[in-house]
Amino acid sequence: MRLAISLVGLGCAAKPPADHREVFYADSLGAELTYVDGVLAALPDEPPAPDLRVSLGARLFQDVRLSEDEKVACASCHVLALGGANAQSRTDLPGRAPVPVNVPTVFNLAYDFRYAWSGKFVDVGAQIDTALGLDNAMATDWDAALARVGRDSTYQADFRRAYPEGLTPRTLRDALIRYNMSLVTPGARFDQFLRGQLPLSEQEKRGYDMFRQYGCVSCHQGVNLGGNMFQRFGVMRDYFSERGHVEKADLGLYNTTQREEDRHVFRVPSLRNVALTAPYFHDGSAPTLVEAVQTMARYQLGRELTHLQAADIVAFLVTLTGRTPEVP
Amino acid sequence: MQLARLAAALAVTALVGFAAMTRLHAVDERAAADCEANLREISTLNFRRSSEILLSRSGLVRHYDALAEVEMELRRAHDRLQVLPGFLQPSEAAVLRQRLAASRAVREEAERTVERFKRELAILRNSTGFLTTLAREVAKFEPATPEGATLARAFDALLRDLLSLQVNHDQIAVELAHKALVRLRKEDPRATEWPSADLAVVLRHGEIVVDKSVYVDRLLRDLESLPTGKTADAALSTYLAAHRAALGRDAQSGVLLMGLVFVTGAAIALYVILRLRRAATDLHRSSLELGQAVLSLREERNKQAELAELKSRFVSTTSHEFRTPLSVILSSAEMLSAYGQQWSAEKIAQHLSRIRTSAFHMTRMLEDVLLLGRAESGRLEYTPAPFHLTAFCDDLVQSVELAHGPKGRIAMSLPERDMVLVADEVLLRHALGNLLSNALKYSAESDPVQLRVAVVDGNLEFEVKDRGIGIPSEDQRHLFSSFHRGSNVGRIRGTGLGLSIVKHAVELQSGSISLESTVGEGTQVLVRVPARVGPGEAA
Repeated sequence: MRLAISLVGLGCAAKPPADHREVFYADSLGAELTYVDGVLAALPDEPPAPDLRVSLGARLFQDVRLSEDEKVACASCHVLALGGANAQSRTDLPGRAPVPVNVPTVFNLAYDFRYAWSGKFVDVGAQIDTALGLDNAMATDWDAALARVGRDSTYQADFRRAYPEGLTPRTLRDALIRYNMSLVTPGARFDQFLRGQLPLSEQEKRGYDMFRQYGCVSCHQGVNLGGNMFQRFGVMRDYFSERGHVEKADLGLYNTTQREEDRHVFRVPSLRNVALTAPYFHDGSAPTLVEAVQTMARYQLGRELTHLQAADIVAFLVTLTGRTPEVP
Repeated sequence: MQLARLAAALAVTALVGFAAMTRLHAVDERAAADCEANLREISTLNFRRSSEILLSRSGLVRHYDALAEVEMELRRAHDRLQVLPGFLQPSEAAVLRQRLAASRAVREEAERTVERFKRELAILRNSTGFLTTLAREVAKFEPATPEGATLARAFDALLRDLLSLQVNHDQIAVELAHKALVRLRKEDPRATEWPSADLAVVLRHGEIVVDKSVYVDRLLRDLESLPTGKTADAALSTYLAAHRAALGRDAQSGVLLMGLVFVTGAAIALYVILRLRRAATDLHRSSLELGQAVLSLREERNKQAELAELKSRFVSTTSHEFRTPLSVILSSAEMLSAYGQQWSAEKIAQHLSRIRTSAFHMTRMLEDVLLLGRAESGRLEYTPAPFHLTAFCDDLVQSVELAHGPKGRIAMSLPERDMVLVADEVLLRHALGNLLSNALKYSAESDPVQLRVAVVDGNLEFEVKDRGIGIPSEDQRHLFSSFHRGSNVGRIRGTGLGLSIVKHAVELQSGSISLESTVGEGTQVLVRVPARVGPGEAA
């Protein structure tokens, strides 16, 4: 539930219910990753079957009653069919100011080390708390959300079955966390290639080689091809002064730490399902994947890629698209 | 009837108390073990972090995965410690929380540094990768012009210096790399046909490699200098102390609990007995008395049997032990009176010495028996008095060596300067004399015996170590009881009283003995008795 992933450093987070220790559903996901070249790994092919708590989270994810005006749900921004994100660079929800950053995906969070573009959240729960409280997202708090959801007797009954304590702010939040952590996208062509089950095409192969040789893999690595480190946007050239109009969200991790060295530092995002999540970057400035690849090469690697070279890399990135989780 | 009612009331009260007690906090061993395991894991992880830093700093290949993993596991261990075991007192929990907070703060700082390290290392790796890939491409081209050759050489030199910078991050290496960059900057890229030749990009990556190599190393050094281990260990030691205290409290409340159980039991028993007494007082009393009489009779008989057994063992052992030297004395005396006039002076001296030795041996045995008798009847007392340690030891060793010939077998190690100690010299002499003579008796004449004397924390320590025949482990259990001797003593003479005396003597001084022995390798006995450093020696 990373509705508010976007809303870097803005607004006030909904206060988490008192006991917010979590047992992550994802703890069962991380096992047995085999790394290729020590940097890349395939997603496990068979994620655990969703339990009752996860399916409750799935229902809540689509439920507009979570928001104060009962008009938007988590799924309003995070469209499962669009890679867990959406096609707008500044998502506009009814009756709300636009979200100040490009909404990122909710997929494969279980393998990310931090959340939000700036990576300021260490756990998904904190991310959900923030999304729930933000005016341009759910604009509510846990108690109010509970009151609205609690009017539905089927929730009451199902939560009693899933949790000994029944429907409470804690269990409400827990179900959402578990669902978010369960959203993985196995079965990508690249995963099958890593397991030796499928060859890549000539073009995809060229793109993969370039991805490694040119140094993309220095940061986009691990099982999520990203999502496991921070990096400055603009290593070889100054991206922000060349783009202009620097906003607060552009400062990245600096907004959280206030350290000069964290200015323009962001969490390296995962490249899984990247073909589905245009536009790109936190500012949504790259409308196509080819442009995104060229921008990355210019500012992060100090290389100018030809259109053809970028197209080869894009062909490789398309193999990272996995099975989209189904809407319940 | 009133008594019975009182007993019933008492029983009910005690039961209520008992129920209340069981609800008191006791040390939950699982929670305690979990907490301790987590704290220990934090210490271990801190150690692991240090070793990963060391690896990363000294090697060509730097890796952050291991470091990042350490931080992640540390975070998990810290998270698991959010809830502290319930047996901690509020004040203890507060101190532990404070220490844990310090440890957490240091970990968070370390985490931030590792994140920065990851970030910078990725850039460094990328630039290093770029330069080495380019070098491979450049190597394929034969420079056509002298300018091209100089450029190639300059590039080559840069690569070499950058490579050495990866291993050695000192100022000289940095300056060399900078110079190589400056040289390359002067070259004209048009002089060559480099494929992806953009000299500006090469220079930019070169600069990155220099800057980041130094920065990455500095981050590792920062990480190294964080007081990670110290804060973690402080938390662990706080916890361990609290745990020990809680166990102590538990033992106390255990005693209380036992007391309550006892009172309950007694009250119930009293109640039952009183009721029964109303029904059959006389019968009960007589049967009770009869039972008691039987019991005491049986006890008496057991005691008698034990005594008889001890006596017969004493008689058989001592009579055998006394008979041998006596027969030596008798035979030597007879022979001296019969042939004394014809014998050479040397032979006479030899027999006189045999008599003397045997008599000496008998006297010692008698002394032992008497001493033991005094000890067992409680007539041996502890009377501490000041004495000089060195003189005492010298004298003791001399007299033991005199009895168990040849001289100089005992190697003594004493505290550097002499001191006056207040302890019971007589008891010490009994204990040590026996230990030393055992050590000499049960080891070969060629093997030395070590005596180490030290004063540690108000205790006088004596360690006697030999390389003798050792004591079989099945005999070690009975070692300190009278008349027991090891099964491997063979023909070596002894009464089986020595260690029994040692034990009595040490116990009278509230001391302790520990013994380690391996058959065929030797025996080591450590005696520890409380001793004050005497007047004028306050050290």
